[in-house]
Amino acid sequence: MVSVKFDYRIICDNNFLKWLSKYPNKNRLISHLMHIKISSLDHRKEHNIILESEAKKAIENRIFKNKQAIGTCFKIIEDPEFLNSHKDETTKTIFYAIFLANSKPYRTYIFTADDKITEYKKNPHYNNLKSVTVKSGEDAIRILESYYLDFTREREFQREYKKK
Amino acid sequence: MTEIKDEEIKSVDKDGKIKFVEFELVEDLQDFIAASSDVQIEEDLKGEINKIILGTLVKVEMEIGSPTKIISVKEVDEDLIAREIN
Repeated sequence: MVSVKFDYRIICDNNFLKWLSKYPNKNRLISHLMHIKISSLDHRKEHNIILESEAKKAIENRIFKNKQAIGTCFKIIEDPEFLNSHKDETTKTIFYAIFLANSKPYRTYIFTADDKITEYKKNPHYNNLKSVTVKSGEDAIRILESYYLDFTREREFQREYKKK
Repeated sequence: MTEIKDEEIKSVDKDGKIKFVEFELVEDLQDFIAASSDVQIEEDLKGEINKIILGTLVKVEMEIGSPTKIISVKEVDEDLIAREIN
């Protein structure tokens, strides 16, 4: 069975989905996200996360056609009660990323759009965090390419192992 | 404001059976078929699934009623992504 130990969990916001929907090679990145989501050793089929409130925005704005489409790349998580007191979407995503970092692999990437990076970095809850890192654009692509390479390496290893 | 349709990964047909679409690695599907007492699958389809090599991402259509029935399995490539996800 192909299982990959990824060193960060991934959570995205609707801004990342908007960027992804316009990226010229989006189907390649969607494929990478699908492979990462379903092959994780620590969180099989659930490695990549999006809050339901963010997914709804993406659908309202016609970025993705429905939950099923988003769900292929990101597990949609109902906003937990502990986020209710926070109205700001950036704060919600940061808090949930921190929550995710409480379990393996104990680190979380937040994927967003380039023009939202500063907003995350200026958020007081992001200050001094070491277990959560916000990424966008080319940085996010590099991570996805690297994780997909990890997947293909493990897949080739398992296929060779099975032949013996 | 656009009404959000709750089209998750399931729909209900006129007989009340629930259809699911799942994306997973083929070995997870093979494990499920081998381990589950309630799954129904045509022998031809089972044969096709067993020929798919380890680590291949597949799209699985299932019907949940009594029993769970595997309707179809397709290997996922960028063409399928372009057709069905975008």
